[in-house]
Amino acid sequence: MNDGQQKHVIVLTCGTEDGGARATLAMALAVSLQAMGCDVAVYMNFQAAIWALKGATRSIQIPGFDSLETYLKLFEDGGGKVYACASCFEHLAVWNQGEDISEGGVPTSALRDGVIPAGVTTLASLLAERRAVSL
Amino acid sequence: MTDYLIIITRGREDGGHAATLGAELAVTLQAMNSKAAIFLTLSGTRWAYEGTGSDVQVPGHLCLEEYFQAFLKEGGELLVCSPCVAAYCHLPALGDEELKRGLRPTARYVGLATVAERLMQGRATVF
Repeated sequence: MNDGQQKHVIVLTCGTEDGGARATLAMALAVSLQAMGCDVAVYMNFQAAIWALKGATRSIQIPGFDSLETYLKLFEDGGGKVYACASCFEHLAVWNQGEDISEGGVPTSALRDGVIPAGVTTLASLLAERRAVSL
Repeated sequence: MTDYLIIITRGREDGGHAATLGAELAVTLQAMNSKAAIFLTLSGTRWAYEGTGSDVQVPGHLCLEEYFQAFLKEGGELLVCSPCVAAYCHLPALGDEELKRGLRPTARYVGLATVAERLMQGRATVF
């Protein structure tokens, strides 16, 4: 990794309540920063944790932008790390009972590949070492 | 001098509260000799048009329009999300009359690459 490489973290807190507009903007921005050579991480907090689940981005298409899935895929393919608030999944309740549950109470089989379940300590670490934008 | 980017994402859905706070912060930063730019995006894009803040008066604050005028008068840079205009600025809530007035002086359309560049140069706050 380039020592001079800028590090950013985008903290996303908004889920489906705005139709995915903020999530789309956040991921589009994340991909733009990546394209400019930055090391970018996205932390999905509160209602935004839903975007860490498989299939959640389906049908999210804000006029003027590419689909949310396109941005997320580009970000993941570009090596971007996606963190999701583990305890926030409890409020989403969108998975079936009996799913594979990890120690943190996260239904791992329901997560997108590569998503890292995380807690406040991880968020604090990210904020300490990176420039942050919250959307 | 520190560069600040104020990102305003909300329009009238909260009565203009977020936009008022964002614009007021930008003016305050200018008064403190900091360089501030405002990026209007999502439903906040509507504030790019002249006069759109005239009827927004959050108790305890000045009229939103006054903040934008003061910001621009001091040389503040107003960046407008270009892909958002089609999605958010042709809603029935934004009348033809407002659109005809056009963009505020010096406001310009930009893409997210410009915003990413600004994020690399300074600090950002989102409203």
